[in-house]
Amino acid sequence: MIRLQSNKHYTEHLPIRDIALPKELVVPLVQHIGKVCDPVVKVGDVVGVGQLIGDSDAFISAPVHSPVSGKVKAIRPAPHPIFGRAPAVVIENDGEDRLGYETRDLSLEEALRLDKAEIVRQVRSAGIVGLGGATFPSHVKLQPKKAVDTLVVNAAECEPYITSDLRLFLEKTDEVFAGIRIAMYVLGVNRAVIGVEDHNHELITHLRRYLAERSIKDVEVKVLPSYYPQGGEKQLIKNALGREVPLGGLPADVGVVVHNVGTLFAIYEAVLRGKPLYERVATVSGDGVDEPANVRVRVGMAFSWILDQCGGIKDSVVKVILGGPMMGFSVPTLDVPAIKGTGAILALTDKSTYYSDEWECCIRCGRCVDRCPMGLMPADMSLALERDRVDLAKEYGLMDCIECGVCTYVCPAKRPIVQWIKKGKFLERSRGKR
Amino acid sequence: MSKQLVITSSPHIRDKETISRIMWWVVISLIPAGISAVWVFGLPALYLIVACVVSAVLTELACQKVMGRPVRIGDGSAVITGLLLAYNVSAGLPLWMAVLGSVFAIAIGKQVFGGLGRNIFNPALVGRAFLMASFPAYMTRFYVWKDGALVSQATPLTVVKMGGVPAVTYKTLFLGNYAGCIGETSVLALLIGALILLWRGYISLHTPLSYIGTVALMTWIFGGKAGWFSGDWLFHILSGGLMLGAWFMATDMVTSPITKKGQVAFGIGCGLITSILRLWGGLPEGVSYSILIMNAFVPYLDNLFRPRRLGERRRWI
Repeated sequence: MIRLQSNKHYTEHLPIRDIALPKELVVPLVQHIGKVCDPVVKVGDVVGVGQLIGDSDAFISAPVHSPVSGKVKAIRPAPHPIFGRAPAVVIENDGEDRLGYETRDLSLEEALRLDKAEIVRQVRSAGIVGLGGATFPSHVKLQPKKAVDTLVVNAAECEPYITSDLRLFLEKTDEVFAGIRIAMYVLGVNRAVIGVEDHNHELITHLRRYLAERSIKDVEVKVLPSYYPQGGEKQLIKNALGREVPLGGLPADVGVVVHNVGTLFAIYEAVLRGKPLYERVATVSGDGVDEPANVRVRVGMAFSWILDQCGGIKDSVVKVILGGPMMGFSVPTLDVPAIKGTGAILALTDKSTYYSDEWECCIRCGRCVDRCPMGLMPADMSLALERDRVDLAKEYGLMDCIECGVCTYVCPAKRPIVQWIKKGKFLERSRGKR
Repeated sequence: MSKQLVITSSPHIRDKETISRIMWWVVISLIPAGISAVWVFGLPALYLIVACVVSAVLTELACQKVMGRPVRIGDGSAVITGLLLAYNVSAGLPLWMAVLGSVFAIAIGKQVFGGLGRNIFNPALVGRAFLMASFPAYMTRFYVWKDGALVSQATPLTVVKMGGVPAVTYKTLFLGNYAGCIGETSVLALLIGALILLWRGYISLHTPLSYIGTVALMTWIFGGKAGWFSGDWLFHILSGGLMLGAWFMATDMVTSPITKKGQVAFGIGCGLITSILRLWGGLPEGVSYSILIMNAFVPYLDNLFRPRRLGERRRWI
């Protein structure tokens, strides 16, 4: 666990705002962990906002919806912020914002009388995935294989710069709480714990007042020290509840399910309003952005478009990142579209980002070992992986690594430890498949 | 034309710490002991320090050139080896011997293993062991600086080994104005340097306290003439190379355990061996050999004391 310069001052006080819609949107058919969707529309089809355009019958997958109304211009591989290229549906926006899904107006009480399986089905068909960044399909996490007793709401937002969950929770408290209620109902739990980092004074005060005014007893706010990676699922469960997820296990093994603030808001929208997930709040920030902002982005909007709506980027920008600076993905081109997991778009100049490819030999200073939030030995793993010794690295905890990047951040030799670990895990997994 | 962007794996930000910053801070932390060395042992100490540092750096340069490795003499690590070797010899050691030791320390103690980070044994102590084996007479004859000349004098530990009673007070031992290796005598100067390292976070108390504590305990129990539990433990921890070894050499990142529990075990091991050598061994002092011996156990200690993983059910440690 380490302290990072939060850099949230750029956007933490800025209300969420809408931005103009582009003429053309490129909607990838894979925006989640799991199976790639097949298109369910053809070139030339006219679609409405929120209309289903891609789906899959796999359990671990999530459908994709049109973010605008207009015409399907093409279905082809297109730049993808994480995978490089991936199949996508290109939609020409007709500017009418005509709805292509059936809206609802349920009260929370009405929603809580729905059949649980029906809610899970709605969450799935709304295409909801974990919006903290991992993009794991949420309907899977609403039906754990073991009995659970607690919902943990991840409002830690431990990555620097990102303030989208903070702003969403502040501005849409009722809605997020409705999402919490629905998740608690479906999971059959009577306790929820909201994990918030202690620097979020405004949110903590706000939530405490909210709970007190409504005499809510079954939801509590747990203030956590501002350490990275406080929002890591296992770290959050440990620090908020004192429970340890067994190695290789899932939160449900200790009676817990974790959902992120943005995800719970999306669940509210899907169940109470019938709205599929085609837009989300993203923080656009960094020292390379002229007007940092918290904006509502629709999936399929090009990064270049979104950045232009925030005043554009400076010439000195060297890296543009999807997500936070610790775990985010640097994108090769601004043509890539926003996807469901886009909690932040950062444009960083070389003053605020690191990209040297030079490193030195490990001097065994132990900084990584002392700080690894999983209790692994990154130094030894890096020495093994430098020589492609995946077998050795496994003994030091390769497969238990959460790829938070702390080891690499603190390394005085600037060794790309996480990069090697990702490669090692990939080699190990593909070896298992063959 | 679309904008050219850099793509790298995460994380995209890094801490400011670098190897050379760590190494140069260690150099700074060794300066007080150097000043003390010149104060107690006069100009010969200064010549030794300069000779060792310069020859260490030049040897490093030569090795890196010959072996086709990137030249990294600016990182300060060879300076540390040179300083520590100089601090580990007597003021009367001829300069050419010191240079030879320095060359051996860097070439055989460090570069043969692959350079910084890859050596198993503390290079400065490898150099010292080489000198002890090659020139034992010069390495064990000690001096103090009096009226512009070196005057031969036995170290307090040697006096004890011979069965005598050393004529030094605790205060003298603390300030360092007595015969010994040039950088080891002033506990005060060494502690100032240790505080710098602690403040910078480059060492923790685990190794030094377990090391010094073990020596104190062992010498208190077994070190007295009036039976068990009568030893002068304070004399033992203030004299000889213990402070220099415990704070600056047993804490060497490259050659000590990476985990905190491993460091405690390492310190206890060093303390046991040092005490055994001092109390029952043939030599008056045992700090450098104890650290070298424990260096060999580091991989084993790291394995034995690896941290508990989050969610791991375990096990006795």
